[in-house]
Amino acid sequence: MTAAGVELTFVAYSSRAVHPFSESELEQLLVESRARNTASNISGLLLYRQEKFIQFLEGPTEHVLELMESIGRDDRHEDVTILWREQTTARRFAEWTMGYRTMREPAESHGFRSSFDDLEDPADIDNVVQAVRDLTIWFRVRSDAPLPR
Amino acid sequence: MDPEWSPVVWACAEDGFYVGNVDGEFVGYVDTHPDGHHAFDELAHPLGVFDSLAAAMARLSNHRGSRTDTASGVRG
Repeated sequence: MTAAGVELTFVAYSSRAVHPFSESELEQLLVESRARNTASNISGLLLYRQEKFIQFLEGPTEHVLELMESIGRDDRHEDVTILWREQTTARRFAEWTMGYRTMREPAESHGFRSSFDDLEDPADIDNVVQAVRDLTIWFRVRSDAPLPR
Repeated sequence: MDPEWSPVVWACAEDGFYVGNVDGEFVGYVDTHPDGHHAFDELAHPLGVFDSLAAAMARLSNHRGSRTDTASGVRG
C-alpha cells in the first residue's frame, strides 16, 4: 500500500448506528468502504457490536481526514467520536481495505476488562491505546494473519 | 519482590479471547474453544489446551518465566 517510512495517520473512532444494521446493510457498507478505501490508499478494520461501530482507519493523513469528514456526514450513524489518533509509519491492517468482524457479546467477563469497552474510556488514554493493540491481535488471529512483531 | 518481576495483564478482546500483556507488551493469548482453553505465546505458538481459563493463563505466565499467578494479573 504505502512505502515504508511514509507518514500515515491512524484514527480509531466510534459511532452508533441510527438503527440496527441488517446483514445486507452491513455488506453494502463494506462494499462502499472497500471501494473508497482502495482509491484513497486507506486500510482498516470495522467492528460492530450492539448497534455500535468501532472503526480503525490508517492511510495518508489528507485522505484519512477527508474520510472522517465524510463519515461525519453519513446519516447511517451518529455520535461519531474520535477515540485515538496518532501519526505512524507502519500500518496495522495493511492486508485489509476494510477488515470486518461482528463481535460476540461477552457471556461472562471473568473479572477482566473488556477491550471493546476500554476503547471508549476517555479518562484513560493508555487503556484506549492498549485496547487498540489487543483488538488488533484478536482480529489478526481470527483472520489467520501473522501477529505483529 | 524481584524488581524485574511484572505480572501478565489480561484483557477480554471478545468472549473467550483473552490478550496478555506485560508492561504494555504483547506476550500471548488464550482462545477458548469447545474442547478447552488454548494458550499461545506471542508468536502464536501453541502452549497447550487446558480445562480452565486460569490454568491456560498460568501456562503462559510460566512460559515467559513469570513468577506471578493469574489472579494478580487481572485488570480492573
